[in-house]
Amino acid sequence: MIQLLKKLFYFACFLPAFYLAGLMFFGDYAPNIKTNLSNYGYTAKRLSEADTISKVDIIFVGSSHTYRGFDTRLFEIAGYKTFNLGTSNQTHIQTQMLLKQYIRKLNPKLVVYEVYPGTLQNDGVESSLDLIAHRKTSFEMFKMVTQVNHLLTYNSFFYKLLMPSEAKKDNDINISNDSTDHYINGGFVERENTNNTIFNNQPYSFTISKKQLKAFKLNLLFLKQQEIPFLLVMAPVTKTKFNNITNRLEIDSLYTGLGDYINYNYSILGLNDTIDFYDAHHLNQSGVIKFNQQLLKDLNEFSFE
Amino acid sequence: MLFNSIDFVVFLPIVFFFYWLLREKLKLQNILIVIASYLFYGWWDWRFLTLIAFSTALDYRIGLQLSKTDNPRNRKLLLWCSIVINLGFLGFFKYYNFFLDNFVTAFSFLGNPINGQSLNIILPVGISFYTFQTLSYTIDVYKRKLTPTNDFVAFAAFVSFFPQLVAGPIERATHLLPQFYSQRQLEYRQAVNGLRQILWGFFKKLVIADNCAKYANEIFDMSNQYGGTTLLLGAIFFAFQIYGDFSGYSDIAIGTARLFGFKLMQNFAFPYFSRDMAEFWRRWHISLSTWFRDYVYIPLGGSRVNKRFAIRNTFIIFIVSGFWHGANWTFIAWGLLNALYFLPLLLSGNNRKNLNPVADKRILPSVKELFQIILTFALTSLAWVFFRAENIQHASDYLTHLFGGLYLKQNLVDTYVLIFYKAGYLIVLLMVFIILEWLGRNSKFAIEHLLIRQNRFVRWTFYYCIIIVIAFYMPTTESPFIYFQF
Repeated sequence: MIQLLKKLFYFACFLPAFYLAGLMFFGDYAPNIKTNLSNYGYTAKRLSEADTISKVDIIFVGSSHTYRGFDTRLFEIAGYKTFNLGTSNQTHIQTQMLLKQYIRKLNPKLVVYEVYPGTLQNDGVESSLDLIAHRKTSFEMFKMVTQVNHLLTYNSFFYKLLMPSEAKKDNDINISNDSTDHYINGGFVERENTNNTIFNNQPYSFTISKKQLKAFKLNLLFLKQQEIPFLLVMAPVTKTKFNNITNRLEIDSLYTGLGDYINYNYSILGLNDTIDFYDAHHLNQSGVIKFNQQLLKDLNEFSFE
Repeated sequence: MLFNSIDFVVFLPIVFFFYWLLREKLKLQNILIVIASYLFYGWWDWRFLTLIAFSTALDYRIGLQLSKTDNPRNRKLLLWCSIVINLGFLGFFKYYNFFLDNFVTAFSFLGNPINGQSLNIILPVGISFYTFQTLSYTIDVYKRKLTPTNDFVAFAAFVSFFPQLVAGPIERATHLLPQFYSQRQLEYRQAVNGLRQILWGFFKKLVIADNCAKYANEIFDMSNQYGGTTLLLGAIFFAFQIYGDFSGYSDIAIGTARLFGFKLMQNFAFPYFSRDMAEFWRRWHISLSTWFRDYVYIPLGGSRVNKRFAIRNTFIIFIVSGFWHGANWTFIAWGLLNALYFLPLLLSGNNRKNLNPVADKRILPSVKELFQIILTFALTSLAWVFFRAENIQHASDYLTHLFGGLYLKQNLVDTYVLIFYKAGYLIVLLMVFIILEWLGRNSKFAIEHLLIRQNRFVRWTFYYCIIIVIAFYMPTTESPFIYFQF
């Protein structure tokens, strides 16, 4: 037994070295390493811009509902300097990393935290890969990778760490070619007024992952410790999509218990499922204007100065 | 609990540690095996533990009763009691809805429609495997090949032994049960060999089977949209999927058992290097084939009867074997097709022609052997189409499209794109896999003796490479073993 355990120990000791060598020599050909994802969410551009600015009034965090839902230009007109830190499929685990990286630098007076319930059940792999692909590796990123705890994210992270130039080579050229999307300074992505044609009447529910809920609560605690007020916001999705969520009351009650919370799916924004959305999840520019105008009114009543 | 899950990665070392901590205490080791096995099985659904416990108690009791009576009538009664109850459970859980649906269809066809209420029955994982294992005990005791055990714990451990509980190898009581009576030793070489076999099993399952599954599923699920060569590729991918999946499971099971000092029977002996169908069936799912041979085929007279009965026996054995796999006409068709493949060999007396290892003492096969291997593989792959298809219609459409559209230009373009742009890495992996299997074809598993005489650096580098290939190429969505459904 001792002999066997000893050999296994020695074998395990050399394994990391071989693993890293494997990453260096074969990482380019491995399907389980994804560091050259397309930049359809403009994550690289957004976070590069975030690196160059400081001191804003409001930051927005969350998934694509965020970077496609909060138009920083409209807030600027209203007198707020804002930055949109939304990234594709961003779950609370990724929000944690971004808050820790940017909160001191951007020093916001308010964090608007978009809380689409899908982010509470998502495993966070896609969003982690998005960040690994488009950001420099860091200790915070490593912590995020361990929290997501998935083979794809481990492989991709270590590959990026070892071969930053190899991992980066395709990223810059893959900026979205979709001519209906436009990146706006401040992190917002504008979609032209294409209309929604997706209507699915299947009821569905969200299963809350313990891991994501824990990260979410830690994020709120972190903001409290930094003495930065936050507002939890659920951006509108189509009425059909929202009404099919079978456990929406349970989710509302969870969010209400965690802080100031506004669910804009109940607000009378006058949104139309076809002409104000470009798909079941995302507002087009006409919808964004209606939603942001209402949010600005609500922010005037929300004391955070 | 799945072998390819984090749960098992935690479970195995814990059980291993406590098991060897109790090294001098045989009884306690057996109790630990029973507890670990029930935990392993209950992880999936604890309710069905009662079924295993019931089967164990029943066959243990019947075994003891058989030892107490010499009256042939009573002995036969006890045997049939075991057979009827065990197969009754299997029949209910696995075949109830199948028979009901077919009776309803048959009566409707004859103009007497009847109502039948299908039940929403969950098939207990591994029921076909442990049922056959316990039956082997009763039958062997009945035939006086085995002295019935009066050690209930050892018997319970034999029935529920977790490495092979849910997908075999289906062990005979005469082989496995005595191992629970004697002191086990942790031999270093055995344990290392076991770990090597587990590693190879994981490679086969996670890299070969699961990657092939990705493309095989896509092609089979949308078979009407593909042409002949793509469908051919789909059938080949499925052939490697099922081999990698099932033999991979067997390797992990056998390797795990070795870590606990047990020797399980070999379940696969490089079947895709067979030179004819008879050889294939001596090398594929050996524990099931030999079970049917010993408990069904030979009692029916085997091949040592007149030709008419030999043909009948061949069809019975293959159809029953097909039906064992699942309650669907596709499995029966698969069995039937294999019987048809086997028949010419039986009738010409060539069914035991290729008993020697292929390319014995040579590196490469002869041209004739290569041709035979390719032909046997092709026949096997075509039969797998029935095994994989949703129903007979699907299989028939698949084969019609396959043979009807082999030369269509667009189809060749699709196949080219699939091979060179989508599944190119898999083709390379399959080639490496075939080479390694070929090099190790005279061992119990491919890498058993591979590089064994090289120094430690070379050997370990090779094992590291396997681990790295697993980490880089295994699909990251968890997929259960195919044979769990049987």
